[in-house]
Amino acid sequence: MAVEKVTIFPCGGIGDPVSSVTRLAGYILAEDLLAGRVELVSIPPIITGVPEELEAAQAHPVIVLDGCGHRCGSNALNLIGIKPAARLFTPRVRSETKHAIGKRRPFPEVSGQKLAKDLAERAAAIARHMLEDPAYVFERQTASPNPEGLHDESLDIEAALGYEEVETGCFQCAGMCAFKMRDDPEVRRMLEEDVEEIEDLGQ
Amino acid sequence: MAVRRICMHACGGITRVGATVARLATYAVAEELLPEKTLISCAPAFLRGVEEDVLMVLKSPSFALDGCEWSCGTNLLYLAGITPAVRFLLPEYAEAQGFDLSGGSRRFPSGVTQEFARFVAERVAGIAQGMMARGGAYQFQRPELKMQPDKWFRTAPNMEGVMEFVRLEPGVYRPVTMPLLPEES
Repeated sequence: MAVEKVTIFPCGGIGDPVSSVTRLAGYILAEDLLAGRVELVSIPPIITGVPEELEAAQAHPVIVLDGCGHRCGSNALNLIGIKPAARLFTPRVRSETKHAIGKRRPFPEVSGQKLAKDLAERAAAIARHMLEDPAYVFERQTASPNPEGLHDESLDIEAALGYEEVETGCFQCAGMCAFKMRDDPEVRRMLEEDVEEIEDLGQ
Repeated sequence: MAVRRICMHACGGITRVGATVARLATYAVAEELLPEKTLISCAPAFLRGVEEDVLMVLKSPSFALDGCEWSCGTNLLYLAGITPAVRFLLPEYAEAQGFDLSGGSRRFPSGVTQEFARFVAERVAGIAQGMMARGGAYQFQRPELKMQPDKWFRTAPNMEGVMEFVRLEPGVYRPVTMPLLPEES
């Protein structure tokens, strides 16, 4: 039956520069590649209960973009009992594309911007399958507090969510409808021609 | 105990300009204005239980920067039993200081987003320097981490009903249960 929208859930950290990469990937998806067809949601509002963001996490399939080995995005969804429809793990994507995260935190260097595009391209391919394939099935989820793993990094979040890597860096969550990744020349063209890489922001 | 470092706790949002201001202001304090004296609290890592991210909000007074009325910066601390020493409500502060965030970018650190972030950072640093002044009277008591998942999904803006504040100026607040700031005495 496909879905009307997909929710993009970047890790949203602040201390590690990779969080600026996942955040930028979210903006590229929401503003450049799939404007109007994806919702951006961050971690704190789904715990505190900001109505529209909590609704987006429940009503649409969620693609989580984990930035680093702490896997905070996946953990946050698990804390509210929401299963991700797909998960991208930045360190694995980076191992394939070789684009460095960089060191700058307010906005990534060009290499980090390229890595953000790598993530966005993969997420867009997954999202378009969910949005367009009538065979893709999603049922609304209901958030409820699941404090297992709250302030406790010993929880094995990979096991808790039953992740299985289906393409490099792209993971399926147990119990969710299988997704496909289509190579999309139009998305690649948009990323190359429309999403400018910025060397100097004039700071 | 005396204060040697502060902890910056930005709201962690992504959809609004105020969240970007909170993040950029945090970097400006930590990287330029008060390096070595500023810790950056990462909300997702705090929830995850990354040790350093849990310890920093317990050992140092927090500055919560809320990008909108939903106050996720302050609220996330509250849900863990922690009260910030100072809270900025950035849209209100922006309006009071003459910054129009309606044209600001949430994606790029540029224009009014960047300018206002710098303004916020300087105000934060001013308060923090008073707290950390040698021989100063400001004292900080370490809170205890408390899990309150029964209070998640509470949908009242501006911490209504759970935390009261003294308004130092529009957009800058001190929770009533926290010590007076040096500029108040």
